[in-house]
Amino acid sequence: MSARRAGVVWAVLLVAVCLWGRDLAEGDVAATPTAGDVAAAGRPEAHPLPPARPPLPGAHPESLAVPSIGVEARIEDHDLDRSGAVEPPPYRRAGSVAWYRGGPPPGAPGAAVLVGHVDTDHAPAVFYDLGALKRGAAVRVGRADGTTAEFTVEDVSVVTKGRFDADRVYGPREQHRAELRLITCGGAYDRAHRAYDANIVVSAYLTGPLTGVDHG
Amino acid sequence: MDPLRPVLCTALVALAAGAPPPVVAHAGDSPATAAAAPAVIVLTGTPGGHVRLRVAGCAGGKAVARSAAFVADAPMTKGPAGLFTEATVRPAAAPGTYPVRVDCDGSGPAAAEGRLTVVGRGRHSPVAPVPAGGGGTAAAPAPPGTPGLIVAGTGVLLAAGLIWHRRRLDAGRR
Repeated sequence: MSARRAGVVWAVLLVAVCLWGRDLAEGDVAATPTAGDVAAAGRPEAHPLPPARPPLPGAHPESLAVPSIGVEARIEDHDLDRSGAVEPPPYRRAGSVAWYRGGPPPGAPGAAVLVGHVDTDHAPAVFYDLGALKRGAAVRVGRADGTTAEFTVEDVSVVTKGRFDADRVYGPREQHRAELRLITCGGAYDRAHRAYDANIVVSAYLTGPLTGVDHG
Repeated sequence: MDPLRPVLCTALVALAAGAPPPVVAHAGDSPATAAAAPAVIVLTGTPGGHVRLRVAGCAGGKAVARSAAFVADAPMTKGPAGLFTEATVRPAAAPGTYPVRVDCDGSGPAAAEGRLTVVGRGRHSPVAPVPAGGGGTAAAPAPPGTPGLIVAGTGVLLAAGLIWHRRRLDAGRR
């Protein structure tokens, strides 16, 4: 075998390993969204999503369940903070989720907003795995009227705070739908400002009400 | 904004002006209702939601509630506690304040007048990103995962093999 031919074989092997490595690395991106306006699960998928269900009468939200990422949380009522952001629960209740009570309740027409912490200053919090949520996943909100409103995730995106479009994040995407936004922090942590540089925004819409008490 | 604030403000203004007590109706899809006549109407609604309205005082037992923010004029029907209707707020109604008026069937002054505040989007909507993390899990850059180690290890082995191979070729030529 000539030296040239052997060199070519080695080069092909190295390129193959390089490509293989890139595939492995990129397969993990969706689980840990990074900064940038990345629509990790926003691109159309092969499987269609269920049709939207007509909105329900308004009822106060009580609890949130997102089985695919193991979230079960109590819902608190909150307003806006001074900056005009929905105020999350205090860190001492980092396992709870805040509903923006100035907007519609989950299940009613419009976009209901639920906010939770990704972490505290020492531990993961209720929405630590929010960025790993997949398109098509179920999100359930238990309501004061005894019904459970079930939503289907249509989109998970990372929105940098420098390019924040409030209408896109908080506003409804389509008329006549009951929508739900789950929002937490993501991206890189800026130690100087003690803040993450992005929001992770999960968008879901009402696909079914479940009545009764226990739906797993 | 606290949905009660406009209701309270209007009630205070009405009291200060010696006006009759307001008809207070909450909006959304599960509104509360109250009645008085002749009356000041104070409603809060969301685009696409419903507001319920109850008034007393129309002798004919019929009335119509009107507002530019309603999908259509809302005929009021007689119930055990006066006249009642449920109006739908236009889904495209912009946030703001809209006059509301209830006219008894026939002529005469309005049975009730007031305003509907549409909230939900616009100036009372959130505008800023949420501050929802303390940074406790962002302490260190993530160590390379198993896939990274496998790729790096394979690359090193291949590179070592290449060097060994070339040295052997060089030695063979001498």
